[in-house]
Order: sequence, then C-alpha cells, then structure tokens
Amino acid sequence: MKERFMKFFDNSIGKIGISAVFFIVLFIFPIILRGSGYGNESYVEGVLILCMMWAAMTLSWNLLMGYMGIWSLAQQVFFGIAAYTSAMLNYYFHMSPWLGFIVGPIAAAVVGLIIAIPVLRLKAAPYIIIATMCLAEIIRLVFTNLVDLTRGELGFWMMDSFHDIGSINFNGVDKIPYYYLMFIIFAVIALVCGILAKSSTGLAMKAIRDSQEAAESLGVDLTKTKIKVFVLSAYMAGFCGVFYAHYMKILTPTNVFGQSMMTEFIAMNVLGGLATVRGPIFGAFFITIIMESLQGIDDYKLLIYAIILIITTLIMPNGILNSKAQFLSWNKKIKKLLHKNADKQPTQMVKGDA
Amino acid sequence: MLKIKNLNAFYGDVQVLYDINLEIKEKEIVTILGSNGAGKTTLMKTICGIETRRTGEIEFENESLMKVPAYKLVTKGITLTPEGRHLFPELTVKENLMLGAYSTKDKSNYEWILELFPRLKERLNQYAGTMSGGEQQQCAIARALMSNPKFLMLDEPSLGLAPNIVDTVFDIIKKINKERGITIVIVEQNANIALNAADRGYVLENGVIRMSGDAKEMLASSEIQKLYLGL
Repeated sequence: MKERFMKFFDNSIGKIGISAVFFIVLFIFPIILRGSGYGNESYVEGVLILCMMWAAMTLSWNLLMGYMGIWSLAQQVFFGIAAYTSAMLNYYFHMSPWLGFIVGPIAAAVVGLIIAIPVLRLKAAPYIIIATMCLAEIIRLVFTNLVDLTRGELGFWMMDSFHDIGSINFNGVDKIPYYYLMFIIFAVIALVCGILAKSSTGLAMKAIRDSQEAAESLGVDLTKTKIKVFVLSAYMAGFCGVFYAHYMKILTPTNVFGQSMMTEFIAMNVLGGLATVRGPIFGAFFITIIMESLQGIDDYKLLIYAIILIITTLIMPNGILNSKAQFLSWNKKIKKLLHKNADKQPTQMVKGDA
Repeated sequence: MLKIKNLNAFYGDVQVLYDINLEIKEKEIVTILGSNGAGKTTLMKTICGIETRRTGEIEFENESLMKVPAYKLVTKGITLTPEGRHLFPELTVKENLMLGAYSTKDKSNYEWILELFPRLKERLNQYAGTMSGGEQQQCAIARALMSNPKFLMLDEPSLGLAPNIVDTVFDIIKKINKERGITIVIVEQNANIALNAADRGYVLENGVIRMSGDAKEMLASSEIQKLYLGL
C-alpha cells in the first residue's frame, strides 16, 4: 500500500493529478469560504492572493537559479520596473491599467535583457551575484532620487485600480475579482514553467547548470539559451509587478526594489526545493501563511522565521519537497530503533500480547 | 578529414600552442600524447573554439572552422568529450543521453548505443553523478555518440579509471571505430594503451608537435619508450 502510494507520487500521472487537485481547490476555495459562513473571508483571500503572487515570482526566479544555476539576485527589479511602468503610464498618460499587462512585462523583459548581457560574460557565481545586486541597487537609487516623477520614498499612489469589466468591480471592497485575476496569472506561469521544464530547452537549462563546457560541446547555444530564459523570467515577473501596482496601489522604491523581497524569494525557493515547479509554490504558500498567522506576536515572528529556515536548511538542504530520500532514511532509522527496543524487552512483549 | 595548418593559440597574451600542423584522415584513430601542461586539452578546445584566441587555419571536410561557434560544431558532425567527463550529475543517464541529441534531434543511435553499453542500459533512470568513474566515462562517450558524429574527440578517457576499466573503455572506442567508421582523436597521457589502440600518433611537448608517425612504430621507438612508457 505504502509502496504504491510512493510510486503514485513519483510517476508523472500522479504529479499531474496532484497539481490539478491543488489548482482546482485553489479555484473553488473562495466559494467554499463564503459558503462556510466564516466572517473574515476577504482577509483570507488577501493572504492567498499574496501567496499566489510570491509563488509566481519565486517560480520565475527558479527558472534562472533552480534550472539554469544563474545566481541572479535582481528578480525584484523586474517586478518593480513593471509595477512603476504601469502605474506611471496610468497616472501621467491615463493608460488603462489593463494595458499595463502588455507594457509592464515588456519593460521588465527589456531590463532583463540589459541585465543578461553583463551576466553572460561572467561564469563564477560570486561575480554574477555582485553584478546583479549592484544593478538592482542602482535602479533602486534612481527611483528613490527621481522625486519629481516617482515621489521617491513618499510612495507613488496616484494610479487607478483595474477598470471595471462589465459588472466585475475592481474597487477592492470585494477581493474576489483580484483573487481570480491573480489565480489566472499564477496558473499560467506555473503551467509555462512546467512545460518548459519538460521541454528540450529545459534539459539544456539543466545542462548549463551542471556543466557549461559540456553543454556547449553538445551543441547548446549558451548565449541564446541564457538570454531567452532571462527575458522570459523577467517577463513573467512583470505580470506580478503590474498586478501588485494596481492592487496594493502604493509603490515605494524600498518596497519593490529592496533586497528584502529578493531574500524572501530565495528563502521560499530553497525551502520548497530548487529546480521543481512544486518547490517554489510550496515554499511561497508555506512561508506566507506562517508569517501571516504569526502576525499576533509582532517582531518575534522573524525569530520563528529564522528558526524554520535554519532547521530546514540543516536537515533538509535540498528543500522540503526534494527530501524523499531523507524521509525514507529516517523511516528506516526509526524502524531500526523500534526493532532494537523490541529485542531488548522480549518478555514484556509476550506479557503484553497475552 | 581534419586539416590544421600553422595553428597558434593564446590564453590572453600567453601563447600556448605554436605552429601546430596536423592532418587526420577519415576512419582513423589518432592519438595525441603528451605530459601534463603540454597543451593537449588546449588543442582540443582550440579546435572547438572554446575559451582560447587562435590564429592559423582549421579545415574540416574542406570547410574552414575558424569562424564557426562551438555550439554549431555538433551539427557539422564534430563532438568533443571534455576532460573530466563533465557529465550532468543531477540528470539521469537517460536525460544525459538525450542531451547528446540536443542539436541534431536525431535519436536513431539510441538502440545501438544501449547495445554497446549494457551497463548504461541497466542504469537509465539513475542520476549520472551516482555512478562509478568507469560508468561515467562510458556515459560521456555514449552521450557524445548520441549526436551521431563523424568525428569524435575524446579528452583523456582513461583519467581516474582503474586499469581494467581503462581496457573496457578502449575496447569500446575501437568497436565504435570499426562498426560505424567514426574518426576518433584520443588525447592521452597513458601512451601505452593509446598507441595500442591508435593507427597514428602525435607527441605534443610545450605546445609544439615533437614527433608524429605510425602508432606501431612509435611504440617501438626508443625515445617514446624512454619518455612515456617508462621502459
């Protein structure tokens, strides 16, 4: 029974089945919530919107870091650029926020291309980290100091919400329209990541991660593949940025360009497991939900956050969802231990049985 | 098949190869011998255009390779197995093999390769990084064969392998040459086994070709025996 259960998790039909169940549950969750008569549904939906947004962002970063092994620490830049592009075009030129979903991601992709070019010349991880972090900091400082345009740290808040479509109202009182908008973005990004991972490009990405030299000797065009993935990753992150801009309706450089957001993506991805699709999703939901449920204890939640991270990196360095081998070895050890104890007290066992 | 004329190679400003002249004919096994730092691996990389700056002329089937980027060589029928194997340790054996056919998209060799490497057939779903050195070397050669090459370059296939496994690997190399007529260049430090397998040999020393000739004659030559065979 247990064997069959494990096998079910391993084969692709099982995997597809589990992810289908996950997305269906996520899809009907608001309906169940409202039916259950729970009073505070818009809060729960708000948390889930955040979960999905961070999951989508982490998935986009996972393409670079997890699959291709490129230590880019500038994912929040793509998010911020798209957010600011859409918000500012909306305020200064009265562009519809819906058009932001076209313009924002493209702006992010262009920045992705600009960041990709210096990174292509660097092979060692530390240099890539330094280069991308510096680029991110430069962009943050530019947006902080362009006070006339962005209001700097005061925050840019004059953009519209998404315009209503027919009777679907995006005024923010009801979170349902935002929930499903984010759900669509998240589901599409997850699907694209899943398909990409199985494709020959996905295989080439993993080859680049494991050995650039061998990948090149087998005919993988390193430059083209890296640029393609950088642009795609930035493009995906752009959708989240545009959504964030017209959902949160306040952007500050520290918030959307700061390193703290990048740190969250790293934590979520490493905790869930790199180079899988389920890993980032699990990590994002896990961390966001835990952090939200610990709101009551204020600053101490960071302490618990740190403890969780330390414990998981120590005992499950490959991420929680990538630790099947570890679980199995623990299982064996526990069984051995129980077996030993059983050997030590044979008389008692007999008595007990009788 | 491959003609190299007056090839010079540089790492930055440092010259590593000096006026290399080589010719490799079709269906031959040629070995390039030399001690550590002689420039053997550099020669392989320079032929592929990886990492070095080069001057001179490299011709493959009467077509210049000087302006062809490394990743396009596979589609021309040239495949390199880099030194130290460079398998993808976190991919399965099967995925490693499939990557071999990445640019040609031609998987017709798959069955033949599994027949050639029964060890790999047993381990298709195992992560490549968890196999033994000999199996990894076999996997690297199998991966290179997946691209259906006319011209195969092997950089130190005996590196880090136990002697009896080295024999297995070289038996397979000879078999590939015989069965499919694939031209093979072997870069080796182990002169004895390489010359026994090869038709012809070149000796590289400090970036210059010192000697070349028939493999059997080289095995018998007193200089080679003294320098590389320890006799």
